Amino acid sequence: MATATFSGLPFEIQEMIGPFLSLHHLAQCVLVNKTWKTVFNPFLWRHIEEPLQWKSVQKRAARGELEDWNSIFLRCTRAGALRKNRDLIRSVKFDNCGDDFFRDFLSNCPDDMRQLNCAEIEGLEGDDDMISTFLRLSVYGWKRLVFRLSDSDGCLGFGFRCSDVLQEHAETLEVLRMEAMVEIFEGSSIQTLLCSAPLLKELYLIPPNRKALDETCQIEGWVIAEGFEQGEEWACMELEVFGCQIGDIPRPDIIRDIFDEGQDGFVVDGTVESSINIQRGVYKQLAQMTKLRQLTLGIHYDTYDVNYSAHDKEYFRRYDCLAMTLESGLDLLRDLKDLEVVELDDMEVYIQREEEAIWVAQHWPKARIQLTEYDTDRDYYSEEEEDEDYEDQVFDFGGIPYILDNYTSEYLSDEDGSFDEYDSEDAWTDEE
Amino acid sequence: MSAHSQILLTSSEGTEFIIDRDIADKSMLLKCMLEDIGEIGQAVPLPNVSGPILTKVIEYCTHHRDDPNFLSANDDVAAEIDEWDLEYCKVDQGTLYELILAANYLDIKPLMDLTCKTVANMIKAKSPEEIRKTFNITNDFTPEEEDQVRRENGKGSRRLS
Repeated sequence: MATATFSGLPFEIQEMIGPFLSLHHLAQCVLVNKTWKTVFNPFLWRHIEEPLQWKSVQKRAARGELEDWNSIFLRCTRAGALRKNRDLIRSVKFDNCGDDFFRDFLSNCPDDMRQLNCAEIEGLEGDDDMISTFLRLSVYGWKRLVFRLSDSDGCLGFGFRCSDVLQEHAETLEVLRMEAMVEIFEGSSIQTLLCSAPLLKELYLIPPNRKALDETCQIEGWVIAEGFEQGEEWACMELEVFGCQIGDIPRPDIIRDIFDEGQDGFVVDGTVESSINIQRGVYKQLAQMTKLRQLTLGIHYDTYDVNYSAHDKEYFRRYDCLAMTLESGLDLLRDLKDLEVVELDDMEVYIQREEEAIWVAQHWPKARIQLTEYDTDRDYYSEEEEDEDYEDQVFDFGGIPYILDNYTSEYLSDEDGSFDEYDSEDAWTDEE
Repeated sequence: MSAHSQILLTSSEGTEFIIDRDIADKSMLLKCMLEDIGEIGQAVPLPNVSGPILTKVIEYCTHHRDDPNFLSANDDVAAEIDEWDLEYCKVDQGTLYELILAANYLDIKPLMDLTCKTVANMIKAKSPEEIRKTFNITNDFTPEEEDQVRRENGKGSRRLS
């Protein structure tokens, strides 16, 4: 038998070396000869991203002694690399994506890329036109789309055109994260997407920690709660991460003064009954998502560095959100046993009350509940104890059974989960 | 099925090898074959694998006989190769490629990954010219073509110096 050589190996075996090589090494391989270029070029262009650099390289690049990755990449695109490799590219990841870079990238892009289905883009503001052009590149549908815009008061230019294009990708979409303020992503569009994306695992539309709310840039990516009652059912039964504000819920239970101005202008008007109905609609829909690990409904406004008084912080609070109380229907979420993270920052919620806390410990054993430390809460609770009328209004929520006064520690010690019983009629009579 | 039953294999030259069933089961090809037809008592012919290479393959499977993570052993692309495996792969290039072919034919994924990783390590940190020398390859690009490839793939080509 003649001695085997690398060139003598079948093509499909030569190809198996590719996954073990980094971009640096692949870039050398394609220069070896024509066969090697055919074998290794697909690996070089499969995922477009800046290769991990050695520290010494990073330092020299930072000092300007080496060309940065973005400009090397743009030079390749101008040499026609994107058009030539259009059907090899599966993902793009830009860590430091300014608008100019992105525009330059788009202008050297072909109209579509057959295999492209993942993108992770950080630092882009852009506009509706630019981003929707980009979203049209994927031929067979996006699987994963991540936009991040951190440490900036800028706003991702995602708008109506983008929502339209995105809707066309509902069938394939698995992850949609926009960790940024967005220009506009209408509640109804978000609902439509949720109702038509069967593979969706993550929907996360929450901006990163905000220093303050910039008046020129609203957070326009939240769902209007009424949509839950009227709309179809969500299709995304695999959903593991839901991060999206749900608003426009009447909260007649909020009767305290907000910013010393009463509740007008802060709280959505409505009867107790309508409030309960709307909230139950939301809980019922969320309750179907039994694979949820993360539920993020609030945005954290970091007022630590800003010279606001405790009362000023009320401006950042959300007063049209779910109350997260048993009266409002929290118990409908009892099957979300896998919840690990529940983020309710800067929301007017009462999940920390004793009865809810007990419920959470029983039904969401793994959950970490995150609330914003909020001074005026304490004032609020001291009021609650003194004012009996107030207590009636807040807690007599349409006659839904409230709190087990007789509820004793034997339930807590009962570890096999039979706590469920307390909800049934029998359990009530037994207790009495 | 007895754990101690033995299997007879014949290499391409007709040399016979007797191995324990659990060693044979490391090869998905043999495992499926033995599950399908049962133990026939006859030799299983392996016309694509030479005696010396089969010896080497059996050595690998025997060493990893009780490895609980055998199938996922070399999954991690970035993981270091363990010492015994590293020593095992110190063979001439011809043997290494024949091992790749045998691992592929017999369907032994961890051996396939290990040998491919070894080839990848021979490529790493080399210039195109050094790669050509190592693998005895002639450059068939014209200078213009090579220049074009260079321009298209400028990304990632920054030398680590």
